[in-house]
Amino acid sequence: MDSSVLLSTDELRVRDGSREPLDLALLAGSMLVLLGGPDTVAGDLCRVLAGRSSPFSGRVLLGDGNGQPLEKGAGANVQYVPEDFTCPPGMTLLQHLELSAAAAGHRRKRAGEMIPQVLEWCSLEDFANSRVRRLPGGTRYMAAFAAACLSIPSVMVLQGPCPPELHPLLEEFCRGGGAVVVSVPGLEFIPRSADRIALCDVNEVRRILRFGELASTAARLMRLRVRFFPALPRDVMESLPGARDIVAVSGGFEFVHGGLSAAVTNLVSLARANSRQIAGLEVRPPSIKAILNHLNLDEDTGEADLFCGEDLGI
Amino acid sequence: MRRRPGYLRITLSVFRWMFQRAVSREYFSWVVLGAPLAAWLLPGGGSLPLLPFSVSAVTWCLPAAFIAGWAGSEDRTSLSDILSGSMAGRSALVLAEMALPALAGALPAVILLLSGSSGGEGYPWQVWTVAVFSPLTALSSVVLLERYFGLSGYLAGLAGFLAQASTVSWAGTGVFRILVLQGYPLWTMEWAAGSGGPLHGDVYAFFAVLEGVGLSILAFRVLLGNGRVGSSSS
Repeated sequence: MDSSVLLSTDELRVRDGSREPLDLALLAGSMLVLLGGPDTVAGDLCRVLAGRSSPFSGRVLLGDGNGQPLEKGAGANVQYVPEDFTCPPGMTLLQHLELSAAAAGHRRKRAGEMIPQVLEWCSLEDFANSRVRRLPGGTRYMAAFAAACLSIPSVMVLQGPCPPELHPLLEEFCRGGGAVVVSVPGLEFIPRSADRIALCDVNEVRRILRFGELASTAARLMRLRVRFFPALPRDVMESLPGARDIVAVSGGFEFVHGGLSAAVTNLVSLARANSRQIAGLEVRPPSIKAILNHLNLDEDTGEADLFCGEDLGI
Repeated sequence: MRRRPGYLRITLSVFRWMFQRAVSREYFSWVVLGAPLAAWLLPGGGSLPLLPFSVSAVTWCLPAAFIAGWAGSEDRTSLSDILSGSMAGRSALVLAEMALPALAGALPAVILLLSGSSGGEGYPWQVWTVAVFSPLTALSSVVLLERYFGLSGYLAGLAGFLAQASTVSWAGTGVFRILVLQGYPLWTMEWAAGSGGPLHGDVYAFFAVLEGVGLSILAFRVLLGNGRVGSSSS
Protein backbone atom coordinates (compact mmCIF):
# COMPACT_ATOMS: atom_id res chain seq x y z
CA MET A 1 0.00 0.00 0.00
CA ASP A 2 1.25 3.44 -0.92
CA SER A 3 1.73 5.40 2.29
CA SER A 4 1.65 8.91 0.83
CA VAL A 5 -0.73 11.40 2.41
CA LEU A 6 -3.44 12.54 0.01
CA LEU A 7 -5.40 14.79 2.32
CA SER A 8 -4.69 16.19 5.75
CA THR A 9 -6.21 18.60 8.20
CA ASP A 10 -4.55 21.23 10.28
CA GLU A 11 -6.12 22.18 13.62
CA LEU A 12 -9.56 21.59 12.15
CA ARG A 13 -12.65 22.52 14.12
CA VAL A 14 -15.73 21.73 12.13
CA ARG A 15 -18.28 23.35 14.37
CA ASP A 16 -18.32 26.17 16.85
CA GLY A 17 -18.77 23.71 19.71
CA SER A 18 -15.78 21.52 18.81
CA ARG A 19 -13.42 21.43 21.77
CA GLU A 20 -10.49 19.49 20.36
CA PRO A 21 -8.95 20.34 16.97
CA LEU A 22 -8.76 17.46 14.53
CA ASP A 23 -5.45 16.61 12.89
CA LEU A 24 -6.15 13.98 10.31
CA ALA A 25 -4.07 12.45 7.53
CA LEU A 26 -5.70 10.37 4.84
CA LEU A 27 -3.30 7.91 3.28
CA ALA A 28 -3.41 6.55 -0.24
CA GLY A 29 -5.21 3.21 -0.29
CA SER A 30 -7.07 3.81 2.95
CA MET A 31 -10.74 4.10 3.76
CA LEU A 32 -11.97 6.23 6.62
CA VAL A 33 -15.55 5.89 7.81
CA LEU A 34 -17.20 8.76 9.68
CA LEU A 35 -19.79 7.06 11.83
CA GLY A 36 -22.54 9.34 13.03
CA GLY A 37 -26.20 10.13 12.53
CA PRO A 38 -27.60 13.18 10.79
CA ASP A 39 -27.36 15.31 13.93
CA THR A 40 -23.66 14.61 14.41
CA VAL A 41 -20.60 16.29 12.97
CA ALA A 42 -20.00 13.43 10.50
CA GLY A 43 -21.91 14.99 7.60
CA ASP A 44 -20.34 18.42 8.06
CA LEU A 45 -16.86 16.93 8.36
CA CYS A 46 -17.50 15.03 5.15
CA ARG A 47 -18.36 18.23 3.28
CA VAL A 48 -15.42 20.08 4.80
CA LEU A 49 -13.00 17.34 3.73
CA ALA A 50 -14.47 17.51 0.22
CA GLY A 51 -13.94 21.27 0.11
CA ARG A 52 -17.67 21.89 -0.20
CA SER A 53 -18.06 23.93 2.95
CA SER A 54 -15.84 25.88 5.26
CA PRO A 55 -14.85 24.70 8.74
CA PHE A 56 -15.29 26.81 11.83
CA SER A 57 -11.50 27.05 12.03
CA GLY A 58 -8.43 25.27 10.73
CA ARG A 59 -7.60 24.06 7.23
CA VAL A 60 -7.87 21.06 4.96
CA LEU A 61 -4.71 20.50 2.94
CA LEU A 62 -4.07 18.56 -0.22
CA GLY A 63 -1.24 16.17 0.54
CA ASP A 64 0.61 16.40 3.83
CA GLY A 65 1.01 19.50 6.00
CA ASN A 66 3.01 21.22 3.28
CA GLY A 67 0.31 20.86 0.64
CA GLN A 68 -1.95 23.46 -0.92
CA PRO A 69 -5.08 24.38 1.02
CA LEU A 70 -8.20 22.78 -0.36
CA GLU A 71 -10.21 25.79 -1.45
CA LYS A 72 -13.99 25.78 -1.49
CA GLY A 73 -15.07 24.48 -4.89
CA ALA A 74 -11.54 23.96 -6.13
CA GLY A 75 -11.20 20.32 -5.18
CA ALA A 76 -10.10 19.09 -8.57
CA ASN A 77 -8.81 15.75 -7.33
CA VAL A 78 -11.20 15.43 -4.40
CA GLN A 79 -14.63 14.36 -5.55
CA TYR A 80 -17.78 14.47 -3.47
CA VAL A 81 -20.84 12.26 -3.81
CA PRO A 82 -23.84 13.79 -1.99
CA GLU A 83 -26.49 11.64 -0.38
CA ASP A 84 -29.42 13.40 -2.02
CA PHE A 85 -28.03 13.72 -5.52
CA THR A 86 -30.48 14.95 -8.16
CA CYS A 87 -30.47 15.90 -11.83
CA PRO A 88 -32.63 18.32 -13.80
CA PRO A 89 -35.91 16.66 -14.81
CA GLY A 90 -35.58 14.64 -17.98
CA MET A 91 -31.79 14.30 -17.87
CA THR A 92 -30.65 10.80 -18.73
CA LEU A 93 -27.73 9.07 -17.12
CA LEU A 94 -25.73 9.37 -20.32
CA GLN A 95 -26.37 13.11 -20.55
CA HIS A 96 -25.41 13.47 -16.91
CA LEU A 97 -22.14 11.64 -17.46
CA GLU A 98 -21.38 13.65 -20.60
CA LEU A 99 -21.88 16.87 -18.67
CA SER A 100 -19.72 15.57 -15.82
CA ALA A 101 -17.02 14.58 -18.32
CA ALA A 102 -17.14 18.06 -19.83
CA ALA A 103 -16.82 19.59 -16.37
CA ALA A 104 -13.88 17.28 -15.68
CA GLY A 105 -12.17 18.62 -18.78
CA HIS A 106 -12.26 15.52 -20.98
CA ARG A 107 -12.48 16.07 -24.70
CA ARG A 108 -15.47 14.58 -26.46
CA LYS A 109 -13.47 11.66 -27.87
CA ARG A 110 -11.89 10.83 -24.54
CA ALA A 111 -15.26 11.12 -22.81
CA GLY A 112 -16.72 8.76 -25.40
CA GLU A 113 -14.14 6.18 -24.39
CA MET A 114 -14.37 6.70 -20.66
CA ILE A 115 -18.13 6.76 -20.16
CA PRO A 116 -18.82 3.19 -21.36
CA GLN A 117 -15.96 1.95 -19.17
CA VAL A 118 -17.32 3.72 -16.10
CA LEU A 119 -20.86 2.51 -16.85
CA GLU A 120 -19.60 -1.05 -17.09
CA TRP A 121 -17.51 -0.78 -13.94
CA CYS A 122 -20.50 0.52 -12.00
CA SER A 123 -22.87 -2.02 -13.62
CA LEU A 124 -25.01 0.79 -15.01
CA GLU A 125 -24.99 -0.15 -18.72
CA ASP A 126 -28.68 -0.98 -18.67
CA PHE A 127 -29.57 2.44 -17.28
CA ALA A 128 -27.58 4.59 -19.72
CA ASN A 129 -30.68 6.04 -21.36
CA SER A 130 -32.86 6.06 -18.26
CA ARG A 131 -33.82 9.31 -16.65
CA VAL A 132 -31.72 9.81 -13.56
CA ARG A 133 -34.62 11.02 -11.45
CA ARG A 134 -36.51 7.82 -12.12
CA LEU A 135 -33.69 5.53 -11.06
CA PRO A 136 -34.10 3.70 -7.76
CA GLY A 137 -32.22 5.28 -4.84
CA GLY A 138 -29.25 2.89 -4.84
CA THR A 139 -28.82 3.08 -8.60
CA ARG A 140 -29.03 6.86 -8.52
CA TYR A 141 -26.29 6.90 -5.92
CA MET A 142 -24.20 4.68 -8.18
CA ALA A 143 -24.83 7.17 -11.00
CA ALA A 144 -23.48 9.99 -8.84
CA PHE A 145 -20.46 7.85 -8.00
CA ALA A 146 -19.90 7.06 -11.69
CA ALA A 147 -19.97 10.77 -12.52
CA ALA A 148 -17.47 11.49 -9.74
CA CYS A 149 -15.15 8.80 -11.14
CA LEU A 150 -14.91 10.63 -14.47
CA SER A 151 -12.65 13.22 -12.85
CA ILE A 152 -10.20 10.45 -11.93
CA PRO A 153 -10.01 11.69 -8.34
CA SER A 154 -7.41 10.68 -5.81
CA VAL A 155 -9.81 11.14 -2.90
CA MET A 156 -13.46 10.20 -2.99
CA VAL A 157 -15.68 11.66 -0.26
CA LEU A 158 -19.10 10.06 -0.02
CA GLN A 159 -22.07 11.16 2.02
CA GLY A 160 -23.65 7.84 2.83
CA PRO A 161 -25.22 5.51 3.40
CA CYS A 162 -24.00 4.04 0.15
CA PRO A 163 -25.52 0.93 -1.42
CA PRO A 164 -23.78 -2.41 -0.69
CA GLU A 165 -22.99 -2.95 -4.39
CA LEU A 166 -20.72 0.10 -4.16
CA HIS A 167 -18.52 -1.42 -1.44
CA PRO A 168 -16.40 -3.63 -3.76
CA LEU A 169 -15.88 -0.66 -6.07
CA LEU A 170 -14.66 1.46 -3.17
CA GLU A 171 -12.29 -1.34 -2.21
CA GLU A 172 -11.01 -1.47 -5.77
CA PHE A 173 -10.63 2.31 -5.79
CA CYS A 174 -8.48 2.09 -2.65
CA ARG A 175 -6.40 -0.72 -4.13
CA GLY A 176 -5.72 1.56 -7.08
CA GLY A 177 -4.06 4.09 -4.76
CA GLY A 178 -7.03 6.31 -4.01
CA ALA A 179 -8.46 7.12 -0.61
CA VAL A 180 -12.08 7.08 0.48
CA VAL A 181 -13.94 8.97 3.19
CA VAL A 182 -17.48 7.83 3.72
CA SER A 183 -20.01 9.12 6.19
CA VAL A 184 -22.55 6.55 7.40
CA PRO A 185 -25.33 6.78 9.98
CA GLY A 186 -25.05 3.25 11.40
CA LEU A 187 -22.83 0.21 11.83
CA GLU A 188 -24.73 -1.79 9.23
CA PHE A 189 -23.58 0.59 6.46
CA ILE A 190 -19.83 0.32 7.10
CA PRO A 191 -17.95 -1.23 4.16
CA ARG A 192 -15.91 -4.32 5.01
CA SER A 193 -12.74 -2.76 3.64
CA ALA A 194 -12.84 0.23 6.00
CA ASP A 195 -9.54 0.75 7.82
CA ARG A 196 -10.51 3.26 10.42
CA ILE A 197 -13.84 4.25 11.82
CA ALA A 198 -14.26 7.66 13.38
CA LEU A 199 -17.00 7.78 15.99
CA CYS A 200 -18.63 11.19 15.78
CA ASP A 201 -20.85 13.01 18.22
CA VAL A 202 -22.61 16.33 17.85
CA ASN A 203 -19.48 18.46 17.83
CA GLU A 204 -16.42 16.34 17.17
CA VAL A 205 -14.76 13.05 16.41
CA ARG A 206 -14.65 11.28 19.73
CA ARG A 207 -12.62 8.21 18.90
CA ILE A 208 -10.98 6.42 15.96
CA LEU A 209 -11.09 2.63 15.94
CA ARG A 210 -9.81 -0.05 13.61
CA PHE A 211 -12.43 -2.16 11.93
CA GLY A 212 -11.61 -5.19 14.10
CA GLU A 213 -11.77 -3.18 17.31
CA LEU A 214 -15.16 -1.80 16.42
CA ALA A 215 -16.42 -5.21 15.34
CA SER A 216 -15.45 -6.81 18.63
CA THR A 217 -16.86 -3.91 20.66
CA ALA A 218 -20.08 -3.97 18.69
CA ALA A 219 -20.36 -7.75 19.06
CA ARG A 220 -20.19 -7.36 22.83
CA LEU A 221 -22.92 -4.75 22.77
CA MET A 222 -25.25 -6.36 20.23
CA ARG A 223 -28.76 -6.77 21.56
CA LEU A 224 -30.58 -9.92 20.54
CA ARG A 225 -34.33 -10.18 20.53
CA VAL A 226 -35.73 -13.70 20.48
CA ARG A 227 -39.28 -15.07 20.45
CA PHE A 228 -40.17 -18.69 21.26
CA PHE A 229 -43.15 -20.79 20.38
CA PRO A 230 -44.66 -21.71 22.77
CA ALA A 231 -43.50 -18.91 25.07
CA LEU A 232 -40.56 -19.66 27.32
CA PRO A 233 -40.67 -18.87 31.06
CA ARG A 234 -38.27 -16.15 32.16
CA ASP A 235 -36.42 -18.35 34.66
CA VAL A 236 -35.56 -20.77 31.85
CA MET A 237 -34.39 -17.90 29.68
CA GLU A 238 -32.16 -16.66 32.48
CA SER A 239 -30.36 -19.99 32.39
CA LEU A 240 -29.00 -19.16 28.90
CA PRO A 241 -25.19 -19.22 29.25
CA GLY A 242 -23.54 -15.85 28.64
CA ALA A 243 -26.79 -13.85 28.46
CA ARG A 244 -26.81 -10.52 30.29
CA ASP A 245 -29.28 -7.76 30.83
CA ILE A 246 -32.30 -9.89 29.94
CA VAL A 247 -35.46 -7.87 29.41
CA ALA A 248 -38.92 -9.29 28.68
CA VAL A 249 -40.40 -7.71 25.57
CA SER A 250 -43.58 -8.36 23.68
CA GLY A 251 -43.60 -12.05 22.79
CA GLY A 252 -40.05 -12.81 23.93
CA PHE A 253 -36.85 -11.51 25.43
CA GLU A 254 -34.12 -9.05 24.62
CA PHE A 255 -30.61 -9.55 25.95
CA VAL A 256 -26.92 -8.89 25.44
CA HIS A 257 -24.44 -11.68 24.76
CA GLY A 258 -20.66 -11.73 24.50
CA GLY A 259 -20.58 -13.50 21.14
CA LEU A 260 -23.17 -13.70 18.43
CA SER A 261 -22.44 -17.20 17.17
CA ALA A 262 -22.28 -18.60 20.71
CA ALA A 263 -25.57 -16.88 21.52
CA VAL A 264 -27.31 -18.43 18.53
CA THR A 265 -25.92 -21.88 19.33
CA ASN A 266 -27.01 -21.59 22.95
CA LEU A 267 -30.46 -20.34 21.93
CA VAL A 268 -30.97 -23.31 19.60
CA SER A 269 -29.87 -25.71 22.34
CA LEU A 270 -32.13 -24.03 24.87
CA ALA A 271 -35.11 -24.22 22.55
CA ARG A 272 -34.47 -27.86 21.75
CA ALA A 273 -33.98 -28.80 25.40
CA ASN A 274 -37.31 -27.20 26.31
CA SER A 275 -39.24 -28.42 23.23
CA ARG A 276 -39.64 -24.91 21.85
CA GLN A 277 -39.27 -23.41 18.41
CA ILE A 278 -37.49 -20.14 17.79
CA ALA A 279 -40.26 -18.03 16.26
CA GLY A 280 -38.13 -14.95 15.70
CA LEU A 281 -34.57 -13.79 16.16
CA GLU A 282 -33.37 -10.26 15.62
CA VAL A 283 -29.89 -8.87 16.09
CA ARG A 284 -29.84 -5.15 16.82
CA PRO A 285 -26.55 -3.26 16.46
CA PRO A 286 -25.59 -0.96 19.32
CA SER A 287 -26.03 2.76 18.96
CA ILE A 288 -22.98 4.95 18.51
CA LYS A 289 -23.71 6.48 21.89
CA ALA A 290 -23.71 3.04 23.47
CA ILE A 291 -20.33 2.24 21.91
CA LEU A 292 -18.91 5.54 23.11
CA ASN A 293 -20.25 4.93 26.59
CA HIS A 294 -18.78 1.47 26.56
CA LEU A 295 -15.40 2.87 25.65
CA ASN A 296 -15.67 5.21 28.64
CA LEU A 297 -15.06 8.24 26.53
CA ASP A 298 -16.84 10.51 28.91
CA GLU A 299 -13.78 10.51 31.10
CA ASP A 300 -11.21 10.97 28.36
CA THR A 301 -12.05 13.45 25.63
CA GLY A 302 -8.46 13.88 24.46
CA GLU A 303 -7.43 14.41 20.89
CA ALA A 304 -8.44 11.58 18.61
CA ASP A 305 -5.64 9.18 17.70
CA LEU A 306 -6.17 9.02 13.98
CA PHE A 307 -3.30 6.65 13.27
CA CYS A 308 -4.26 4.19 16.00
CA GLY A 309 -0.88 4.63 17.64
CA GLU A 310 1.17 3.94 14.52
CA ASP A 311 4.24 6.03 13.88
CA LEU A 312 4.03 6.91 10.21
CA GLY A 313 7.17 8.98 10.23
CA ILE A 314 5.42 11.96 8.66
CA MET B 1 -1.97 19.32 -14.78
CA ARG B 2 -5.49 20.63 -14.36
CA ARG B 3 -7.75 20.04 -17.34
CA ARG B 4 -9.96 22.80 -18.66
CA PRO B 5 -13.66 22.04 -18.71
CA GLY B 6 -15.53 21.67 -21.99
CA TYR B 7 -17.04 25.14 -21.91
CA LEU B 8 -19.06 24.75 -25.11
CA ARG B 9 -20.67 21.48 -24.02
CA ILE B 10 -21.47 22.90 -20.60
CA THR B 11 -22.89 26.06 -22.17
CA LEU B 12 -25.13 24.14 -24.54
CA SER B 13 -26.34 21.83 -21.77
CA VAL B 14 -27.14 24.74 -19.47
CA PHE B 15 -28.95 26.52 -22.33
CA ARG B 16 -31.02 23.43 -22.92
CA TRP B 17 -32.10 22.85 -19.31
CA MET B 18 -32.63 26.53 -18.65
CA PHE B 19 -34.74 26.94 -21.77
CA GLN B 20 -36.81 23.84 -21.02
CA ARG B 21 -37.49 25.02 -17.50
CA ALA B 22 -38.39 28.56 -18.55
CA VAL B 23 -40.82 27.71 -21.34
CA SER B 24 -42.53 25.00 -19.30
CA ARG B 25 -43.58 27.54 -16.68
CA GLU B 26 -46.79 29.54 -16.92
CA TYR B 27 -44.91 32.42 -15.37
CA PHE B 28 -42.82 32.77 -18.55
CA SER B 29 -45.72 33.86 -20.76
CA TRP B 30 -47.02 36.19 -18.04
CA VAL B 31 -43.72 38.05 -18.01
CA VAL B 32 -43.09 38.03 -21.74
CA LEU B 33 -46.61 38.99 -22.82
CA GLY B 34 -48.37 40.25 -19.70
CA ALA B 35 -45.87 42.91 -18.65
CA PRO B 36 -45.72 44.68 -22.06
CA LEU B 37 -49.49 44.47 -22.35
CA ALA B 38 -49.92 46.00 -18.90
CA ALA B 39 -47.55 48.83 -19.82
CA TRP B 40 -49.42 49.35 -23.09
CA LEU B 41 -52.77 49.57 -21.29
CA LEU B 42 -51.58 52.12 -18.75
CA PRO B 43 -52.37 55.81 -19.31
CA GLY B 44 -49.80 57.04 -21.79
CA GLY B 45 -48.87 53.51 -22.86
CA GLY B 46 -51.08 53.57 -25.95
CA SER B 47 -49.23 56.57 -27.31
CA LEU B 48 -45.84 54.86 -27.21
CA PRO B 49 -44.31 54.20 -30.64
CA LEU B 50 -44.53 50.48 -31.42
CA LEU B 51 -40.97 49.66 -32.45
CA PRO B 52 -39.16 51.44 -29.59
CA PHE B 53 -41.59 49.97 -27.09
CA SER B 54 -41.13 46.49 -28.59
CA VAL B 55 -37.35 46.80 -28.32
CA SER B 56 -37.74 47.96 -24.74
CA ALA B 57 -40.04 45.01 -23.99
CA VAL B 58 -37.80 42.32 -25.45
CA THR B 59 -34.62 43.69 -23.88
CA TRP B 60 -36.20 43.60 -20.45
CA CYS B 61 -38.95 40.99 -20.35
CA LEU B 62 -37.21 38.12 -22.15
CA PRO B 63 -34.07 38.12 -19.97
CA ALA B 64 -36.22 38.56 -16.86
CA ALA B 65 -38.47 35.65 -17.85
CA PHE B 66 -35.48 33.34 -18.31
CA ILE B 67 -33.56 34.26 -15.19
CA ALA B 68 -36.34 34.91 -12.66
CA GLY B 69 -36.45 32.12 -10.10
CA TRP B 70 -33.65 30.22 -11.81
CA ALA B 71 -30.95 30.79 -9.19
CA GLY B 72 -32.92 29.04 -6.45
CA SER B 73 -34.52 26.38 -8.62
CA GLU B 74 -33.96 22.67 -8.22
CA ASP B 75 -32.72 22.42 -11.82
CA ARG B 76 -30.04 24.98 -11.16
CA THR B 77 -29.05 23.31 -7.90
CA SER B 78 -28.74 19.98 -9.69
CA LEU B 79 -26.57 21.46 -12.43
CA SER B 80 -24.49 23.20 -9.79
CA ASP B 81 -23.98 19.87 -8.02
CA ILE B 82 -22.76 18.30 -11.24
CA LEU B 83 -20.45 21.16 -12.19
CA SER B 84 -19.24 22.27 -8.79
CA GLY B 85 -16.27 19.89 -8.75
CA SER B 86 -14.06 22.73 -9.91
CA MET B 87 -14.16 26.50 -9.96
CA ALA B 88 -13.86 26.39 -13.75
CA GLY B 89 -16.96 24.20 -13.98
CA ARG B 90 -18.94 26.56 -11.77
CA SER B 91 -17.75 29.58 -13.71
CA ALA B 92 -18.82 27.88 -16.95
CA LEU B 93 -22.27 27.30 -15.43
CA VAL B 94 -22.65 30.94 -14.39
CA LEU B 95 -21.40 32.28 -17.71
CA ALA B 96 -23.86 30.07 -19.56
CA GLU B 97 -26.82 30.96 -17.37
CA MET B 98 -26.09 34.65 -17.88
CA ALA B 99 -25.45 34.27 -21.59
CA LEU B 100 -28.81 32.71 -22.46
CA PRO B 101 -31.01 35.52 -21.05
CA ALA B 102 -28.64 38.15 -22.43
CA LEU B 103 -28.81 36.63 -25.91
CA ALA B 104 -32.57 36.10 -25.58
CA GLY B 105 -32.93 39.84 -25.05
CA ALA B 106 -30.24 41.19 -27.35
CA LEU B 107 -30.84 39.09 -30.48
CA PRO B 108 -34.56 39.92 -30.92
CA ALA B 109 -33.78 43.56 -30.17
CA VAL B 110 -31.10 43.62 -32.86
CA ILE B 111 -33.45 41.90 -35.31
CA LEU B 112 -36.18 44.45 -34.55
CA LEU B 113 -33.72 47.30 -35.03
CA LEU B 114 -32.50 45.82 -38.30
CA SER B 115 -36.05 45.48 -39.54
CA GLY B 116 -36.80 49.04 -38.43
CA SER B 117 -33.79 50.47 -40.19
CA SER B 118 -34.24 48.59 -43.48
CA GLY B 119 -35.02 50.86 -46.40
CA GLY B 120 -34.16 53.98 -44.51
CA GLU B 121 -31.48 55.56 -42.44
CA GLY B 122 -29.93 53.35 -39.81
CA TYR B 123 -30.06 54.00 -36.10
CA PRO B 124 -27.18 55.81 -34.40
CA TRP B 125 -24.63 53.76 -32.48
CA GLN B 126 -26.17 54.76 -29.14
CA VAL B 127 -29.32 52.79 -29.94
CA TRP B 128 -27.38 49.63 -30.80
CA THR B 129 -25.24 49.98 -27.70
CA VAL B 130 -28.24 50.39 -25.43
CA ALA B 131 -30.06 47.47 -27.10
CA VAL B 132 -27.11 45.16 -26.51
CA PHE B 133 -26.32 46.20 -22.93
CA SER B 134 -29.89 46.54 -21.62
CA PRO B 135 -30.48 42.76 -21.47
CA LEU B 136 -27.36 42.44 -19.33
CA THR B 137 -28.71 45.10 -16.99
CA ALA B 138 -32.11 43.39 -17.00
CA LEU B 139 -30.90 39.90 -16.07
CA SER B 140 -28.39 41.21 -13.53
CA SER B 141 -30.88 43.43 -11.79
CA VAL B 142 -33.40 40.57 -11.61
CA VAL B 143 -30.74 38.32 -10.05
CA LEU B 144 -29.76 40.98 -7.54
CA LEU B 145 -33.29 42.12 -6.71
CA GLU B 146 -34.36 38.49 -6.29
CA ARG B 147 -31.35 37.74 -4.11
CA TYR B 148 -31.78 40.67 -1.76
CA PHE B 149 -35.51 41.45 -1.87
CA GLY B 150 -37.26 38.26 -3.02
CA LEU B 151 -40.80 38.85 -4.29
CA SER B 152 -40.53 42.57 -3.57
CA GLY B 153 -37.61 42.63 -5.98
CA TYR B 154 -39.78 41.24 -8.78
CA LEU B 155 -42.40 43.89 -8.10
CA ALA B 156 -39.76 46.63 -8.13
CA GLY B 157 -38.52 45.39 -11.52
CA LEU B 158 -42.05 45.30 -12.90
CA ALA B 159 -42.82 48.75 -11.52
CA GLY B 160 -39.73 50.12 -13.28
CA PHE B 161 -40.82 48.56 -16.54
CA LEU B 162 -44.33 50.02 -16.26
CA ALA B 163 -42.92 53.42 -15.23
CA GLN B 164 -41.39 54.03 -18.65
CA ALA B 165 -44.91 54.65 -19.98
CA SER B 166 -45.68 57.12 -17.21
CA THR B 167 -47.12 60.48 -18.20
CA VAL B 168 -46.63 62.28 -14.90
CA SER B 169 -44.67 65.49 -15.13
CA TRP B 170 -41.58 64.32 -13.24
CA ALA B 171 -41.29 61.27 -15.53
CA GLY B 172 -39.75 63.58 -18.08
CA THR B 173 -36.88 64.66 -15.83
CA GLY B 174 -33.34 63.49 -16.41
CA VAL B 175 -32.98 61.94 -12.95
CA PHE B 176 -36.08 59.79 -13.45
CA ARG B 177 -34.85 58.60 -16.83
CA ILE B 178 -31.46 57.67 -15.45
CA LEU B 179 -32.96 55.78 -12.51
CA VAL B 180 -35.49 53.78 -14.54
CA LEU B 181 -33.09 51.43 -16.30
CA GLN B 182 -35.91 49.65 -18.11
CA GLY B 183 -36.68 52.71 -20.24
CA TYR B 184 -33.25 53.25 -21.81
CA PRO B 185 -34.02 51.56 -25.19
CA LEU B 186 -37.32 53.43 -25.55
CA TRP B 187 -35.90 56.82 -24.68
CA THR B 188 -32.74 56.36 -26.75
CA MET B 189 -34.85 55.51 -29.78
CA GLU B 190 -37.10 58.50 -29.09
CA TRP B 191 -34.00 60.67 -28.92
CA ALA B 192 -32.76 59.15 -32.22
CA ALA B 193 -36.14 59.93 -33.81
CA GLY B 194 -35.73 63.55 -32.74
CA SER B 195 -38.53 63.49 -30.18
CA GLY B 196 -36.38 65.34 -27.77
CA GLY B 197 -36.19 64.57 -24.09
CA PRO B 198 -33.98 65.87 -21.33
CA LEU B 199 -30.96 63.64 -22.07
CA HIS B 200 -28.69 63.04 -25.05
CA GLY B 201 -28.33 59.50 -26.43
CA ASP B 202 -24.72 59.44 -25.26
CA VAL B 203 -25.89 59.61 -21.67
CA TYR B 204 -28.14 56.58 -22.11
CA ALA B 205 -25.36 54.67 -23.87
CA PHE B 206 -22.87 55.55 -21.16
CA PHE B 207 -25.15 54.44 -18.34
CA ALA B 208 -26.29 51.34 -20.24
CA VAL B 209 -22.68 50.17 -20.58
CA LEU B 210 -21.76 51.17 -17.04
CA GLU B 211 -24.77 49.46 -15.46
CA GLY B 212 -24.64 46.46 -17.80
CA VAL B 213 -21.04 45.70 -16.95
CA GLY B 214 -21.17 46.66 -13.29
CA LEU B 215 -24.36 44.82 -12.43
CA SER B 216 -23.22 41.79 -14.45
CA ILE B 217 -20.11 41.51 -12.32
CA LEU B 218 -22.21 41.67 -9.16
CA ALA B 219 -24.72 39.15 -10.51
CA PHE B 220 -21.88 36.84 -11.55
CA ARG B 221 -20.54 36.86 -8.02
CA VAL B 222 -23.97 36.21 -6.56
CA LEU B 223 -24.61 33.30 -8.91
CA LEU B 224 -21.14 31.89 -8.35
CA GLY B 225 -21.72 31.77 -4.62
CA ASN B 226 -25.20 30.35 -5.03
CA GLY B 227 -25.47 26.58 -4.90
CA ARG B 228 -26.46 23.92 -2.44
CA VAL B 229 -23.17 22.24 -1.78
CA GLY B 230 -21.03 25.22 -2.50
CA SER B 231 -22.78 27.59 -0.21
CA SER B 232 -23.46 25.34 2.74
CA SER B 233 -21.29 26.27 5.60
CA SER B 234 -21.06 24.92 9.06
